[in-house]
Amino acid sequence: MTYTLQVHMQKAEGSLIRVLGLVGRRGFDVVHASANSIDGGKAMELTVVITGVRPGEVLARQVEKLHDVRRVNLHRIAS
Amino acid sequence: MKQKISGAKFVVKALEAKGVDYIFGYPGGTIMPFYDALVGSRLRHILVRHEQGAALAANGYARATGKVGVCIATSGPGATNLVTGIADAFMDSVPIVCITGQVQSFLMGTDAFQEVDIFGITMPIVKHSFLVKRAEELPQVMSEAFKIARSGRAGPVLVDLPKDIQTTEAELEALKDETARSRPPAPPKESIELAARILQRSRQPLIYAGGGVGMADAVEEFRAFVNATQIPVVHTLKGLGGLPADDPLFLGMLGMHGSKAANNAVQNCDMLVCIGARFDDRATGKLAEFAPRADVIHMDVDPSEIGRMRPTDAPLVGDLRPALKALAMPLEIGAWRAECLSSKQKHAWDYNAPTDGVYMPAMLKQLSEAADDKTIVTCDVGQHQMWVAQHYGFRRPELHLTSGGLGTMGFGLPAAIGAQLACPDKRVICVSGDGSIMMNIQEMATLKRYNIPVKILLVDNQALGMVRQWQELFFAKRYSEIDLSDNPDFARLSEAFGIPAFTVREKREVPSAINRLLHEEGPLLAHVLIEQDANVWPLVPPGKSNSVMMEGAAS
Repeated sequence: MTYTLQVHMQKAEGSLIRVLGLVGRRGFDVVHASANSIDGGKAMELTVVITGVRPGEVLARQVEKLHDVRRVNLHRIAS
Repeated sequence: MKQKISGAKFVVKALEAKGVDYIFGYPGGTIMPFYDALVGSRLRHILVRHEQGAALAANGYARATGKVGVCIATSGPGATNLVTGIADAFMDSVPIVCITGQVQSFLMGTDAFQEVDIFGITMPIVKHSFLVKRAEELPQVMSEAFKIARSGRAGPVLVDLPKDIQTTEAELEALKDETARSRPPAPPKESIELAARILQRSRQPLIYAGGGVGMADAVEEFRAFVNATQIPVVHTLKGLGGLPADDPLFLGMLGMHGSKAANNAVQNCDMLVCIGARFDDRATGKLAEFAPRADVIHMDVDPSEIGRMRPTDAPLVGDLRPALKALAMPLEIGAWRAECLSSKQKHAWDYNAPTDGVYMPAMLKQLSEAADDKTIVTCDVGQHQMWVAQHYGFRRPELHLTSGGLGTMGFGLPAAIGAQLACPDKRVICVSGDGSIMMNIQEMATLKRYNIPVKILLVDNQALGMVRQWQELFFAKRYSEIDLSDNPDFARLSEAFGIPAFTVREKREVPSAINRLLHEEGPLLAHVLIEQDANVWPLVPPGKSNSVMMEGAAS
């Protein structure tokens, strides 16, 4: 299953690597990633295309739990 | 009110404001300003003899009280030595705050002496972590660290403090005294109504309850729910004591070393009410064949647990208390309950062992019958841990401190130290093995230094027993690196630390040993020798369905 995961997060020490690390540890491969600073450098938006056999919805909830994460959107793009 | 204060002094004052009484730690180069600020503080610092002991003592303190445990270490090896204790807290959702020294900011990233990226190393095993880059961040960091550690699903928080942040003076707002814990929101009304509907139509429901019940401080609501519905209960390792072990509706622990009655009930139920548990592989066995006919109601404070391992028919995310209250209703399940209770009777433990030696399941049963409800048992990991889970009848979950998720050998003694300091009016017994005890044996010196009256029941089979058992059963008796017949004389070792000890070799010595463990003042070690080939029964082979249970002779 392939998904696009959009993560809006507060910019804090390690916040980007924390999200990417979690995605990998929970069994998903990152196919594409891009990240931008927003809100005058206070926040960051990360978009990753990921593949994996586990449910993407569970991953989205795991990412949502991270302290620095504000919003998560998940779209399935292929099975 | 703001005041000019050094970062180190601020952190000490912040810990005081958060209601911390004991902290567990070990000083070193980069944390020295903190230790300097500690002089004259009302915080009581316990000097452990290895930083892993500090993390696990904080862990035991937190498990016994529900309060945040705090540990301190220096940078580099001090910090890396905390890692196992942090991972243990992460896996078992234990609220701890770990404060590590770090090299000065300008040296970070230069491979400085005792520099290690502990923030990066621990990222997969913390609920959250902070690397403080400016002293002005400290009020927010310290406040959030405690809040994050204990809110929702609890967990460990790391605060990495460069040495220069500790020495910098800044105008900082003091933290307000605050120790109360906020409760999570109740699950939505519609979810509760859905759960109630499917619960009411079930004819063979079973409660599968884990450590979440105790951690949510919902034991009373849980018991009222069981009492109203009269649904039989199986517990996970960490859930034990949610329902008192002597309650007729308690069928035992489920899973790899679960009771037959518990595992059979799981396999036959048509509705599984999962409360604060997470479908761990040691509990479920082969997941695809776990409770194959059952609908699932899943109550958990953590939304990411829903559907993670097993699809859920009715998720109830949020505070357990209102959910349990709302579902406490009578059900028509008399025939099923009778079937479960008859299975429990049929598969009751048999404590008759044809030996003059000590039969550990029987000794643990006798110990639990002689102990009161103010006795905490901590465990290490291995056969003795499973015997405790099976045969010691727990009456409250916070009386059983065991390393469930991580399975940390060496957990028992430091956890007992933390629990005993947190609960001076309770008796604390550490049940350990001859393999496990050596992993944190240095903390015997901590027991002696502070005269902490922890009792150690050291179960010695002169082997790494659980590994030996698996080699016997699953590796064609090809024994590999499990022999510990050259163990030190543990009673003499204990005495060398200044802690009285005695050795038990025969069954007839057991009553007096139990009496001494329960009634002597001060720390004490009972070294109990058992047969090397004793196994833990029953056993679901790894990767198999819980319906496949192997049984030995005396099970």
